[in-house]
Amino acid sequence: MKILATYNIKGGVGKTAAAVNLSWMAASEGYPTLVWDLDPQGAASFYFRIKPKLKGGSKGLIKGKHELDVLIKGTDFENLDLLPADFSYRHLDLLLDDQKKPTRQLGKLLKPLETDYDYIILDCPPSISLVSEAVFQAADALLVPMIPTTLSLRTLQQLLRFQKQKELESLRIMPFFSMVDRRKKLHQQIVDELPKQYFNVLETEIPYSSDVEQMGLHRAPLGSYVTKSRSKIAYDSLWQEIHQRLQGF
Amino acid sequence: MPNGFVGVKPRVSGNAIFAKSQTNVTNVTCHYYLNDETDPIEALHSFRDLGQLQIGLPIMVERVFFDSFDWRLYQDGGMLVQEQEHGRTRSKWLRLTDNQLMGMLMAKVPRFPRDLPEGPMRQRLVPLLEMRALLPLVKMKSQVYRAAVLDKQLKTVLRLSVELGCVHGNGNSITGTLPPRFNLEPVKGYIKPVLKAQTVLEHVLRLEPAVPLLDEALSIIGRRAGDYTGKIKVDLSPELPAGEAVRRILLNLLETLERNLEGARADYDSEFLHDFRVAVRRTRSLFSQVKGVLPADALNRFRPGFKWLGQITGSTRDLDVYLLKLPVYREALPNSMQDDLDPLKDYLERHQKIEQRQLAKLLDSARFKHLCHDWRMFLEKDLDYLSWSDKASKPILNIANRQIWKTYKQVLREGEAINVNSAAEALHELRITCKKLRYLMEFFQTLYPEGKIRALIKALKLLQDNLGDFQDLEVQADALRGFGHQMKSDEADLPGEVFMAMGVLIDNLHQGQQAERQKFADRFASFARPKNRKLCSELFNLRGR
Repeated sequence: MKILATYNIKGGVGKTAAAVNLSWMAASEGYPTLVWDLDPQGAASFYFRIKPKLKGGSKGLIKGKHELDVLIKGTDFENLDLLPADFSYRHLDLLLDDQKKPTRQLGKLLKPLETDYDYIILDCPPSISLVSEAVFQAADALLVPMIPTTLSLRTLQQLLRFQKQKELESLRIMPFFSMVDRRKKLHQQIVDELPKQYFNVLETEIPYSSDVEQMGLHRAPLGSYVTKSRSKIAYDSLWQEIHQRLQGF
Repeated sequence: MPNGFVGVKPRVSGNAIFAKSQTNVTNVTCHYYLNDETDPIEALHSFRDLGQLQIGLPIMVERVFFDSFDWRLYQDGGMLVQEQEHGRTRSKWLRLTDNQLMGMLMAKVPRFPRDLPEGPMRQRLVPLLEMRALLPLVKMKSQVYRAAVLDKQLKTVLRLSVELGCVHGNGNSITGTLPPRFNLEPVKGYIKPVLKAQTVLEHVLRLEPAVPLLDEALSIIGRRAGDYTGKIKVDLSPELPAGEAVRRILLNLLETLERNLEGARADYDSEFLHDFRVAVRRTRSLFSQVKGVLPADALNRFRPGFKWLGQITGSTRDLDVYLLKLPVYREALPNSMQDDLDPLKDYLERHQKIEQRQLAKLLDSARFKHLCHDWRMFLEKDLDYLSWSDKASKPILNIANRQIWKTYKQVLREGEAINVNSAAEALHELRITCKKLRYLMEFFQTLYPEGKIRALIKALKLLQDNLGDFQDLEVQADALRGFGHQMKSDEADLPGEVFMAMGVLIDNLHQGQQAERQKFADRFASFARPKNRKLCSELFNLRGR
């Protein structure tokens, strides 16, 4: 089982779209996959048409009242399940803080699912917090969508510093460009330059497109309702790239 | 395929159990029989009160169920089905009780689980199936009418289907038609719609629960899940005349031998030949162990035939064993030397193919056919035990007791005589006596209380493992030496590295053998401990009672 997390300190960069589309790709290739919607806004749950509500809220979850397994919902897609968001996730930091070794908690909760899923994708809320730290501990790789702006570069640097500070060497950070508008000079420049400085950047870039925005109307992963779209093709190749990289470790 | 002798009851999904929680279905009735005259679409429409109903066009689904010959997936509570739908092939590993998906492959089922792509499914199936191949069991084609129940968000919360299926034989002929089935496919985390649907099924449509599809399809071709096991278990009663008891055991062994014939001839996997050989060995062991029961002329007539079977299967089995061991051999070498063994693998594979072809020819021979035929005729037709011998009419329990007790005492005698200075031959002798004892206890196990005889067999097995390893490691080291010489003379230009690696391996094997030798005293002491002695005396020693 590999645990991936779509994460960025900034919001609105395409984390949830990536989590939803990549998980769909994994499942459609035959890998049992789970998405955990950790964002209290519940966007991933919305895309899968599942109510963002957990029995017992996040308290029941963290205090170990409910096994994760009984809270999981099957999506409309074979092999693809979701652990829905809950509005109470906004207090997840406080709840974690209440536990011994708070940053180990998510990993501990996911452990029993090891034989059930090949991939678990955590869709994380923006910010850098105790929850993020727990995600970093649990995950094998962080998928970091970045809009090619100078501000994004700063946040990537922040993230890398944080990784170093917390001695999270085994965590693989895989940034990729998201919402790229090749007509913008700055986008072009950053997309061309960054991989030279930071060699872990994934080659595939997700273009800015109305297809992705329309996922909110369809409330489904792109691949389930379009066959030929630039964005779908981009997510396909992004998944192939991630999948390849994960084979190596 | 003849019907099996030992089996597992098909699991009828009749009892609905809700385990763990009310939000997840872990074991629930999902399959029902639909009346022949009910229209599928009409049946699906009965569920319109559950939510918005989305009914699709009927489609053709082709399924082939797979398992190993000895039903390892089924015994583990699963099944593997290859499905073809709209020209797309998928292989699903499903839990028997509720069809929950445990793994999926977007391709055909491979011959061996080791050929699966890396991932948890491979990780779990490789140790479960070991060397066994995945073989097609039964093929079926169905017309499937599907519907989805949607909630207010238009999310699927339950899937329904009506299936009209036929079992197909080789080629494309229809072997039999299945009764129409109504299936519920729960969506994880949505139990309420399932409960509502069950009410409709049971109280409105009044349908009866169906057995799992796999069991149903198998019954059409006259098979039963779990209908083969390599283990021997023949029901005997203490008063049964010895002739009849021996006849039953021998018939059971013949059946095992015949059931493994096709797979051994075609080399589906190495275990067919293994089980075939075990049946031969057990038969021969029984010949000599209950000598006085079978008529002398029959023994004289059939003994050479079974000896011949042991001989002709030997070299293929040996090469199979080395090929099975090869991964372990590789692992035992330093990383840098592991690839150096590749020429050995090529050599073994080449020779295994040659021996296998030769064996297949012999198994097709008139001699083999006559042997099986005549042996069966003898076992089935010649039922006048009284004319067999004096012993044949005595109660089997007496004969079994005497023979087991005698062999057991021989094991103790031989084992107790072994000390640190004893020659390897003494251990080899003991190994053979232990094997005799093991076979006897297995042949006659149903005459004794199950728990007690099992405990003894288990204790004996531990000792046998030690003795077996001790000898096998030596045999393997010798064989490797032999292969080395042969490879040198066959191919002059082989790299020297392969012989270096084989040398290291031979050393490893010798060290392993020494380690087994060290363990012997403890293992024997454990087998011969007072508790086991008492148990043996209680079960087998007539005079001791």
